[in-house]
Amino acid sequence: MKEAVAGNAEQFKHSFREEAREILTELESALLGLHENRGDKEVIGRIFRGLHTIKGSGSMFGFERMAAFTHDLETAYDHVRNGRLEIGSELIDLTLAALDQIAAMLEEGAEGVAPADPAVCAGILAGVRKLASIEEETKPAKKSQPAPEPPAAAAGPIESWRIRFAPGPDLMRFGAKPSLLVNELGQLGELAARAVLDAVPPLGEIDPERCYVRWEMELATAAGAEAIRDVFIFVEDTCELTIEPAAGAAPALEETRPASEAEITARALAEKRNATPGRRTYDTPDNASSLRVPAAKLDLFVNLVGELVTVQARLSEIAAKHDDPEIAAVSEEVERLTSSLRDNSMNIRMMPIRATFEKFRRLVHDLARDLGKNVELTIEGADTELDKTVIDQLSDPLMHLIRNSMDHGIEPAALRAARGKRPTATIHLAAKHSGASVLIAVSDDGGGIDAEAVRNRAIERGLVAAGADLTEAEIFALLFQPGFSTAKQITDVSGRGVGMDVVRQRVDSLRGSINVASKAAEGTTVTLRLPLTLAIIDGLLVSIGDAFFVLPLANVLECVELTQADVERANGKHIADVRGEIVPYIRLREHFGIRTPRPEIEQIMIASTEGGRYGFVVDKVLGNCQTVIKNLGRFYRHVKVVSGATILGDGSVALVLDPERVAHDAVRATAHGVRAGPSVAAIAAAVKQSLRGRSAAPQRTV
Amino acid sequence: MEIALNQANDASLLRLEGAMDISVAAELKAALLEAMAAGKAIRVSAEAVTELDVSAYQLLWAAEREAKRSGLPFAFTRRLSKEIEGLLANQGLEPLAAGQESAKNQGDKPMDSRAGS
Repeated sequence: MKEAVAGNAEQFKHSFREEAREILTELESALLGLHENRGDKEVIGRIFRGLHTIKGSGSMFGFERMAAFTHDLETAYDHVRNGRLEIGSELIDLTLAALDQIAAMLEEGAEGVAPADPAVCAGILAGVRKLASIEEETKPAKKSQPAPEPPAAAAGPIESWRIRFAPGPDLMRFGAKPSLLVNELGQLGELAARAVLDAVPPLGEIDPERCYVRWEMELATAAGAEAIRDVFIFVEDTCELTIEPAAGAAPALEETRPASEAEITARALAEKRNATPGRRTYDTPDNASSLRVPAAKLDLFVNLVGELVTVQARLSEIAAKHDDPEIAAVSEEVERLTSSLRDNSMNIRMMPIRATFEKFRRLVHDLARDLGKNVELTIEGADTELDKTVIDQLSDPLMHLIRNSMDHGIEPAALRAARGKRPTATIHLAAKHSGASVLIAVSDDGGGIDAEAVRNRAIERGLVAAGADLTEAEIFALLFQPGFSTAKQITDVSGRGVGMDVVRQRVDSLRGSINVASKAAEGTTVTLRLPLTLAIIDGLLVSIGDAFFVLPLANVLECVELTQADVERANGKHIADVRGEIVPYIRLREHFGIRTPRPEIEQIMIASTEGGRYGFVVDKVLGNCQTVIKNLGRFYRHVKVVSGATILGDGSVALVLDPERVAHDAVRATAHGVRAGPSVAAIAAAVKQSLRGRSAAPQRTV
Repeated sequence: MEIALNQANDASLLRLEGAMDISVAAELKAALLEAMAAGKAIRVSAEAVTELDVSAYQLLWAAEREAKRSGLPFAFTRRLSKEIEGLLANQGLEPLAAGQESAKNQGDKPMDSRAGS
């Protein structure tokens, strides 16, 4: 049983870590906000409460070192909010440095995480103490004192609050101690607590790990409802908690007589009707509004849904072959449910990009200081949602793009002044949806990219021929070649030519694309186009000879026939007349070297790409399909025109095409007079082999 | 920590030592049930308890309630330390075995030890 308790405690620690990481991110944002608006009392209050929560809950979950380290910081911000200490850059920077150490303490023991540095911690604490004692001559803080603020010292008038706290049945099992919460509440002010034990069953029926006690408390404090709620921050999802102002000046616990059944029911109904923000209960829908689930569980879930989609496709195919209305009805129902399940499971993985964007505030702040530049970060579209897997992989590329903008894009102050620009430069992060993609843009109002310098550098490095005729987009694309840098000086920040290559690799692996727009002396915008999700897409299944392909439905605009007469009318040129509009087309048969004979009538799938509309000629359009994308094996990972593969209902392999890449490759191949496409037969055979191998392996045990 | 239950002629003697928390709650429950089943007065020595959390408190509280209902005396031979009692009071937890005279120290030595870790 002790192991089970230990396991639960570890689980609770894990969830504390997750919450604490969020608090650290919020703290960082708040601190950076404070830089711009130092008198903002609300922000100072938020910082204080954040530190208080990290300290209090940290000690509760066994992070004593972290709690002790945070103590003096919390005291300093208590002084700040009480007007005894002025907030300055030094305290903000010390606090930011302290947050890094707290983050390290939080992750202690995790692989690849540098431990907190005791010398740095001591330096930070010495700095904070010195600053705090400048204003506070009789420094009261003692190490053993858990909370720094006596109730009278806290901001605001003293108010009375009635708090009802009923721990959830599993609270103790998770390693939390309700008594510590009650004690912590006591540190906020004058607390009168009454434990109610009427739910304790007969001894023989007691589950020893379950908490049957609930508390009714009255607290007189100047700290406010938020601070009270913060005490319960890590347990409020698993407990019943009511925080409400105590009526009038009623003395504490005047109403300790047991309430009658009718009174309890009436009170509960009234509370339900006027549910205030200070209330969380099991029975309100609000309590179920969010749930933390480990990402690995979600991944497994999505994989299972993916496999279900594949099996469902097989079922539909079998049902179509048997002329049995009963089977057909079941198959249609399964198809409807699978489709709905697929959409829902995809939705679960969608997360707003806000947290990723927000964490760059710190990077911009630190880099601006290091580079001696004045830069502000603006954010737009932070609520744009995209797949968690995509978000997880976005941090690195965005970091490199921002570093590059800060270092090379934004001009020194003197040059900005000479150009008549605002002294404060701007880095703008924006996200928005565009069809089945998300566009993420990093813009700066710096000096822009010198296309000529990039071109010259590329010629110097032998990346392009001296006389090559390159468009601006092609020149900018050179920036993402490995080892390419136009920086005259390599700085600590960037200039080694590593970053941009990483950006390209990561974006490629996410099946995205990069677009660079830049104007000399005005600025640069790098836009990443990324798929909304990586796991399942809606596609159009087509065939050429005996090869199958899937075109993402988001790209396909329409489908028209291509007859021999049409081909002759175009004099052998690969262009089609679509209601008067000339659309160039690519024969996928030729592109991929498929040697089977061409049918009389072919189909052109008209698709939109960044380079405009293109037609993709296939033999047959077989219909819509929900496609579970499997990665190509490592041997074919370099084949960019194919973004993945999928298994069809009858077991054959279809390759998922990336229309952007196919168009790009085909245009280049035409220019150079070569066939660009890889051999699809070889890829399909390899995919089949690798997927067979994978499915033969022992699978899930859940 | 230790939970030891000894049977004297007229009483079940329960000695508690160290931290009484969720990790020993199942053991404490078993010892209390055994003491109840013996049908004799229950005497608890709790002086050496260094922590008494809610899981242990609710077990002792339930045992005391049931002992009272069955007419069995439930008392401390050695009370909880002042510090622990103070902590319980701060949490609004009523004192255990309140109003019960501390029983004599008779039979406080182990006879039939049922030690826990």
